[in-house]
Amino acid sequence: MMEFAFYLVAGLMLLSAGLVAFRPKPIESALWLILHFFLTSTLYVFIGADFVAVVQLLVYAGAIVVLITFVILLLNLNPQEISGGESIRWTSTVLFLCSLGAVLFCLHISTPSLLEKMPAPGSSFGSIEAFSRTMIQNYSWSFEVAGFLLLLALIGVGLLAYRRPSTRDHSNIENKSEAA
Amino acid sequence: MEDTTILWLFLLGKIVLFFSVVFGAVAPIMIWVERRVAGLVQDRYGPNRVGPFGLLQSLADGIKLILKEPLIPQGVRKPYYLLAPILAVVPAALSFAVIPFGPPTTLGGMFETPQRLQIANLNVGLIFVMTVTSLSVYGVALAGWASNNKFSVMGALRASAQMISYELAAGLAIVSIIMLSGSVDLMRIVESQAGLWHIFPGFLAFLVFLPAIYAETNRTPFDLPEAEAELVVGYHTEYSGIKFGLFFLSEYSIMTTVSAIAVLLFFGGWNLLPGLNWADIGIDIQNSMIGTLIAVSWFAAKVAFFLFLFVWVRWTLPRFRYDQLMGLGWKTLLPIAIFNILIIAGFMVFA
Repeated sequence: MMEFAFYLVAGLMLLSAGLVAFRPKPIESALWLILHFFLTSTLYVFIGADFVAVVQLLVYAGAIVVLITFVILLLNLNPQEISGGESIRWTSTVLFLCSLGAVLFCLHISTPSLLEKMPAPGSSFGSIEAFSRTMIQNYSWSFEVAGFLLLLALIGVGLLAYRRPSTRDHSNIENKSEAA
Repeated sequence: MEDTTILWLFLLGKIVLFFSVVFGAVAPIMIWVERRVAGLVQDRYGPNRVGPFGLLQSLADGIKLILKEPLIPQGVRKPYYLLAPILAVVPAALSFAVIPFGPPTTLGGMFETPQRLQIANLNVGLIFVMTVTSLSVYGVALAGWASNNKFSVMGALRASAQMISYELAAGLAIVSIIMLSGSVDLMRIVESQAGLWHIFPGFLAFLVFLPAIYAETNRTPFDLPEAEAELVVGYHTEYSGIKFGLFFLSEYSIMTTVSAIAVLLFFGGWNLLPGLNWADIGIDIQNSMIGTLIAVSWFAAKVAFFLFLFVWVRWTLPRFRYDQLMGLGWKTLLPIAIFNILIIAGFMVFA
């Protein structure tokens, strides 16, 4: 039963991921992406990781895709502008499929030995307590590094978006209104 | 252990009760209250003809909306146009799933162990509510885009920007409450307020949380997505009949959800008064049927007060300008919320 549910969800995930990539309208892709995130969090629920499942939805479906839709609405892209009407570039497609196949093959080979090394999940697996303890105690270094990287990105965005008060064209607007 | 059939029936009963109360009673009554209070504030009557005090006005309006011709304007993007109201109402309904509306109870001895008055017992309850309310933006965004109308798109854009901005402030305010109660299970959060309500240590958090939930529900003074004076009515300009009704219903049911969350997080849920519990005045809310009913009604009364506050604020305060809205969210509420986390952390270490 559980196995059937897994294959059903995994199949739907592949389908929605394909639709994200191949639908002509960007907003339609965004909708399929939301469905994809829902299905991903279903997989997390299957393995009992409730917290990760909900955070997956909160962060990706609740914030990131909202930003994507925001940009799509703002740009109002036409379907033609995106597809471009060109034929598929065969070389890059073949290269991509080969590398994807290689990665999947490596995963297939290495998974059994990795599974042996994994500690058995405790009874509190997936709860917020267990999750936070693992993240703060066992992986605190990587957690801090990731946080620092995000902080750097934030400062970078601030620098890019910052305009000096003198260059903000107040004078220009006033001139225009006077001319009118 | 209990008989599983009875437990399933109890669960079904909770679902039916909660949904029929919220969608069938709270939302229509709130719409009536809104119009009557608007009348009171503006020194006129408001709806007072249908039924006693006009109470059946919402029923009449609901029947009208359902019976109205399902009009689909030319030039809309049809599948998305039809999908949008559904996407607006589903998160509103989903968020009720984890809201506890009373103490764990044996219903006057019907059960051996106390049962939760909550539809689904998720151990991540509070985060689930935050997630689901943040998903409600898709209904608005899609409605605006699918309407193929510049005013609707403007409304949708404003809604997405506003919801992202204020979600952060609300989330950070909630973090301090999670720190105070040491859990994200809403039931446990209420239990942790048996002595001291979180409003006292978390007053700053409440000051951030309240404007943030007003902005998240797109209510005045933050109703820029549907600013009548600028955008016709924004994202639902092209909607009529029951499709408009669904947007309307989802607004009022999300209002109910966030009011309930405000009571659960800051005002002690069904606890009697700060420092005074039901047990102190001799009411057993766990084992006696009447005690449970009293506790549930007390919780409902607190939620009703917050719902009234929503209406009161709407007809008192004027609408913000867009840059003021963004400035308030990012430059005032967000820093206060972060500062508040430090204060709460200090409070917990030293007190």
